[in-house]
Amino acid sequence: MLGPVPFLVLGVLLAAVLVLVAIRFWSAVRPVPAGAEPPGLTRLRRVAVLARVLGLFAGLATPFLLAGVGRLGLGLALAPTVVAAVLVTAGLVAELLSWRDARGGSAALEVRRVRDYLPRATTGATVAGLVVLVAVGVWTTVVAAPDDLGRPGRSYGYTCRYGSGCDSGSFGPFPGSFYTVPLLVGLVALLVLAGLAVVVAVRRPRDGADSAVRRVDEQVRRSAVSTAVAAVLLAVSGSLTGIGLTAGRGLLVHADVLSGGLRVAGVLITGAGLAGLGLLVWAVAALVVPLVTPAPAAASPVPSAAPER
Amino acid sequence: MTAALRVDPDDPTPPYEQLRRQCVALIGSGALAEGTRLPPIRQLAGDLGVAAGTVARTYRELEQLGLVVSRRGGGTVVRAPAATLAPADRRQQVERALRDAVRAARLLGADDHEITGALHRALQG
Repeated sequence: MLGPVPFLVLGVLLAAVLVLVAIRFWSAVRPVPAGAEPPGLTRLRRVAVLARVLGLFAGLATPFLLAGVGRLGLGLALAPTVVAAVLVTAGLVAELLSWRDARGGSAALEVRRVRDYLPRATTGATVAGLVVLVAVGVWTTVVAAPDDLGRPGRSYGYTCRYGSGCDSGSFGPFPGSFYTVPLLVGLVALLVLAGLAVVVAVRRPRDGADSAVRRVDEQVRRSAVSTAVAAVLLAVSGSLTGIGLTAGRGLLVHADVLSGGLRVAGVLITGAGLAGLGLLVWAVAALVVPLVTPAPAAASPVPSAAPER
Repeated sequence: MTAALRVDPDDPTPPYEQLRRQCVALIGSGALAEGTRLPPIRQLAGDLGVAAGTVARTYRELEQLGLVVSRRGGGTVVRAPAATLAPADRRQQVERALRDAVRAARLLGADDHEITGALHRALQG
């Protein structure tokens, strides 16, 4: 029943290895120029951009790799979650590789909290999308029936409404437990991974007393957190689009023989799927925009009680 | 603007003492106002590259001086300079601070004459 879920783990591990090897290779062939800015800062920026680019490429390839994997479209159903896991893993590896790059012997007396770095709008969209996805997924799981070969949670059986000219019928594929249970497992794993990535990004040390370090590091840190949240939104919205449009389409196609309540459910679920599509566009934009955002300017000086050297 | 701390690896004074001294100066000058929340121990230790125990000792000593208060789940917060200490407690804290300063001066090789001269200059301003 878990089907391609092991591929999620494999995808995450491969992404981690790919990013690690690529960044090590890149650092070796492109030494940091002396004097331009602290070498750790240059490395920090390079690693962040490289990881995001590699993550995006690996993420783009993932659906094609998963399309033929698993039974009856399960690979494709899990593709958004696996893509998101690849993106989050790339960012997490980059943060761990850059752990000491922003540190310089001083520290600002600042309190860095996760909630101060979460992008408000994207986080809100992710939570809202997750709530709708859970609601739709629970309904489709509860109402789904075994298909004609007895595979549980793959079809929808209905009783025709009075006067429609039929007794009963069924249609599929339908996003019942066959798809929603592996999806749930994948999403929970992704949420744990993304939570870890966000905490690591916020807690990574830095010399906040140096204005140049602080400004660049702040952008890298916020981008890392935004990417993790946008990746989760990608998984949630992609899954919602798939479940919503698959279930909604089936209900609307058979609307003439279904009861009024089920016709309404079909409209609502299709609407949820379309909303998921809108959120998917949001997620893609949130992932791509940081890559083209210009570098920040210098910040104001910081008072220190440290003795002069 | 955000206040900052630094650990000088060439200073023979223990890191916790360097940090304590800097925090006392920042609080005394008003750069750290009452109610300002200090960073979590692990965060500050990571930023400075020192052990968490070093920062924990610094916060403990600041709390003993009455300059900060630690609340479980609420972090460590700056208090007003020790106007609320009883005279006996204040005397004890002052003697302790001076003992630490003398110890640090002796580590640098200063004799009694040098230490006394430095103390007079500090009192003058």
